[in-house]
Amino acid sequence: MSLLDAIELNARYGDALDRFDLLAWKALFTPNAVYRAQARENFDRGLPLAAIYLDGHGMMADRIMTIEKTLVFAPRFVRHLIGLPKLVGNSSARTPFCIVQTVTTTLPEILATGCYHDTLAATPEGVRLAARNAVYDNALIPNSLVYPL
Amino acid sequence: MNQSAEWLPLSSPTPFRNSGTHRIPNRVYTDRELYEREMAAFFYKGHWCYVALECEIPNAGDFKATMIGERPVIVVRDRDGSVNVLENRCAHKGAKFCQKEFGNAKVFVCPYHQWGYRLNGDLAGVPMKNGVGGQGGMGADFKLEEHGLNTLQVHVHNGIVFASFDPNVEPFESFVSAELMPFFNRTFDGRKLTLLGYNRQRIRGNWKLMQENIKDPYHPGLLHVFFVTFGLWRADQKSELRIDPHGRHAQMISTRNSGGENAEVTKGVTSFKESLKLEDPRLMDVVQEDWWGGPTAVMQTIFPSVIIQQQVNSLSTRQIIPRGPDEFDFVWTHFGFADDTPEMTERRLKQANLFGPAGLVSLDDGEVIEYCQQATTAYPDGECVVELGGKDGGQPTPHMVTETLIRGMYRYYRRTLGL
Ligand code: FES
Ligand SMILES: [Fe+2]
Repeated sequence: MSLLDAIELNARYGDALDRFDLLAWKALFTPNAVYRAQARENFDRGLPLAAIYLDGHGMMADRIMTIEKTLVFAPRFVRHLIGLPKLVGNSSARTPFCIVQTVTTTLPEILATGCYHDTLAATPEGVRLAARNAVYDNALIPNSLVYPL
Repeated sequence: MNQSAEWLPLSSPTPFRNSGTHRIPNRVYTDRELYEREMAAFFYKGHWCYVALECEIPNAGDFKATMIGERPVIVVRDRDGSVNVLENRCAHKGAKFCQKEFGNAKVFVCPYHQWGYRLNGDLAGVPMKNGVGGQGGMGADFKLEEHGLNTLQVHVHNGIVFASFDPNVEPFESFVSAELMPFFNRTFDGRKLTLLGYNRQRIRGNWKLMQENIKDPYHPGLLHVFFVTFGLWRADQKSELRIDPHGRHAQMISTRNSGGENAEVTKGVTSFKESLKLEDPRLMDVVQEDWWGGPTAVMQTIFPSVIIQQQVNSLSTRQIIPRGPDEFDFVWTHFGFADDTPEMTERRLKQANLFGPAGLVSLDDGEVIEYCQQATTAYPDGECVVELGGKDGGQPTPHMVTETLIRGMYRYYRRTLGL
């Protein structure tokens, strides 16, 4: 696993979400990967609750279905500003992020800032996420968290 | 209890145009003067406000900083195991001395001039009290006993903690009311609770809109497409609304049915989407728990400060922290029971996907509350129509097709504020 692999993965990750290509986002995970978006106060205190907790591609697909078909929310843009990964051992990484949200006709605001805690896996298709916990420092979310961080 | 006598006359007359509460003036969501009265009459007087679950502070010295209305307080476990609630406001110059959300302390020391307080709020010591080298110091009439932290009334009820600034607040059980205590005790029956974690969101709307949202069984089967599509909530399910005699607290009690098409409730409901299926049913892996005794969802509004949620296997308290007339923070504390199996804990965590700022059936609530605030602010002389189920002022009802609980809350609101 090279630094370049991790950077490439994150570039595709942010690009997929910012273009609302949620299937491309899902494809960056291994089929059994766990995705979490978790407030740092829970992470730091060892409390298991996450705002979003998806266990595998099936639940990721269900989250995508709800975003596209059932949830009611004001239209918005999101922009992932993902920093440089710090590789930890062979298959883990920590990567800082800042996600800016622009709800239509209002000023941009920071939706979340924090650190991705990742487990990476080499697959025939390339490096994929075997686990990603998007741990956000701001316990307080400006109203709603629609798209994955 | 009519508290109107002590209020100064409003600078403008009551915003309500007629005697009932089937019309709500937009001004109650936007007016600063009304807001100040609400804080004084509801959050700081005459009411028990939610502050914590006991399982957040299990050991002596454990504390949690939180808010009642706009006032910072500390909930702390004392050495004898009792729970104290103290103002987070130094008796010296008013510093919010505790800046940590959670922790463990033997004493609280204000960093500014290091006044030290015991866990019960007593002032233990003051630096330079007797002067330095014979100079300065406090006067002979300065008594430590007279400068402790203000302490609140505290009621611990089977693991959930309420507090009140009002020394004359009525007993907790009569506050909640005989009508609502049975379902209140259904969740809090003395079993030990376990803390699963928090979600917090800031919603740019008036705090009462959230109370109304959970007193409104009209919307879930319409707004929350997920609810109606996957059979968690429908207008035809077995249900009951309870309300206390004042009209301030309520419970929406319901038992889910199997979902699918039912001509009368789904015809014309554009949000019903029969073709949708979950790829992974674990998101909705509901397992009946014995203590439910039938109902699969009980949503309680304890006025003014908290909502208590049981929606299938997901349990939470949702604390309302107002921040002016047009904004509040909403703090979700998810919990389970000490005897939950690991599978049940996992189930509660997965079902938590439905709730909080990212929740599949609650994200929409925060959104529409902001939509309400956006337009009511611009039309202060407008009013909302709350006439589903009639024009009564709030009464128990054996069905969901009514806004009676909201009318009840405003009956109490008008009487308490003298409007
Ligand atoms: S303000 Fe707290 S000790 Fe002075
Ligand atoms: Fe709702």
